[in-house]
Amino acid sequence: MSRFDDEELHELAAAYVLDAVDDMERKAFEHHLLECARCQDEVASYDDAVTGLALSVPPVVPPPALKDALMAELASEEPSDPIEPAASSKGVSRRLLMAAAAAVAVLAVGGGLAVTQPWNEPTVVATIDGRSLVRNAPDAQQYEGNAGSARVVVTVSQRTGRAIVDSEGMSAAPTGHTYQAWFLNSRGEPRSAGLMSPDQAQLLQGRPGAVFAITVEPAGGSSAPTTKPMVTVKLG
Amino acid sequence: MPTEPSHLRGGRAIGSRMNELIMRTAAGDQQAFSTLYDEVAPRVHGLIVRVVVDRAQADEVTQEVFLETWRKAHGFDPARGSGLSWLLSIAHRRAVDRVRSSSAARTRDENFGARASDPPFDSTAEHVMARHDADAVRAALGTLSDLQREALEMAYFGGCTHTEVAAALDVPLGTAKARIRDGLRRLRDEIGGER
Repeated sequence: MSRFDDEELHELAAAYVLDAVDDMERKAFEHHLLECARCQDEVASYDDAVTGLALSVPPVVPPPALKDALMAELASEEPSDPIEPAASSKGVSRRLLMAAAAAVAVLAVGGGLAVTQPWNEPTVVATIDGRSLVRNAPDAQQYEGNAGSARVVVTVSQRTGRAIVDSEGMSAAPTGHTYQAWFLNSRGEPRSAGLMSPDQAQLLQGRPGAVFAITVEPAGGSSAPTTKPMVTVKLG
Repeated sequence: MPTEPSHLRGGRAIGSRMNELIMRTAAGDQQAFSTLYDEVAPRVHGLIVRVVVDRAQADEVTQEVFLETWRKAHGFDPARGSGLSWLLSIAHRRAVDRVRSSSAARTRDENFGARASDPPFDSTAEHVMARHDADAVRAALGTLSDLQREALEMAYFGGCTHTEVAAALDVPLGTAKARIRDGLRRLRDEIGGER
């Protein structure tokens, strides 16, 4: 990613929302986006314009057979089903990869890139790498916490120096707000571990601290927690 | 069927219904998914046809997009944007992926003329609203300079990266980036997309 400096990355926001970047630029920008409030705002500001472009195209009714095939296919699976039947189409390897990714997500993690936009899915490869890094670490340990009906599982690997979080039953953050993850050191000092989407497994930023916490912050996140944590999990 | 009046920002009014359908889909509700499909498939498919051009491939991409919607609906977060935007962004991304694979690009060039023919319109209320949206965006696009509009359309509808736009127009990369960015900003400001 060193081929991009910050100024170049800031300038990618418009091309990014139009899908007019190449794969390397996309990865670099998504990485940058996690930590750049200015670009998060810029990306969000284009939402209506990009949706408007999409809606400016005349609708085309797909062939009816397409829906029939689709309904038949999904009748055989649950959404996000961790194990999906092998298919014979060309897309099989990709779909199996996605299924594998979903399987891991049941207990663990995702790449941390899906945190800034709902449609900003991490690439499959990045997701699997992010997960397997921690999940397959021989020293991986799981710690659990609860906030009301929400359940949070943090998987920590000190050897890889990374942690992943998976949540269940968390409602969406209030409009204009976001969930933010934190690591607290032994003195209780917080450091951001990235923005969080509820019920979406993700790789946390930075080395795990002594305690993991989640707070509700204004959209775009905060440099330090501004609200009382909804959940804290002691790591070790 | 949604009955809310809609203009461009009213995409959000439809969006709230989309949000509900997507969240029910995430819970495994096939009926909700079926309704979602009926309501939004013409828009999703229209966008994909515009980008991919080749109808057979567009059908495949549309099917992929809805399967992805079914499988990933749990990842949709209504706090971060409308369901309609979410779905259309998945559709656009997959259409662009398809265009960038070389075999698709070849077929696409051969079928380029297909774009000139009018796709069939559906006459349900929702699609009438879509035409309103289209009018608003076309009016906003009209305020862009020709160079900005050309670059923006090559990027979004042509599935080109900004590097490819620069090469096709024979301008420096920085110039292509600036035209795309300035065009999109102008569009955003014209349609009041700033929040």
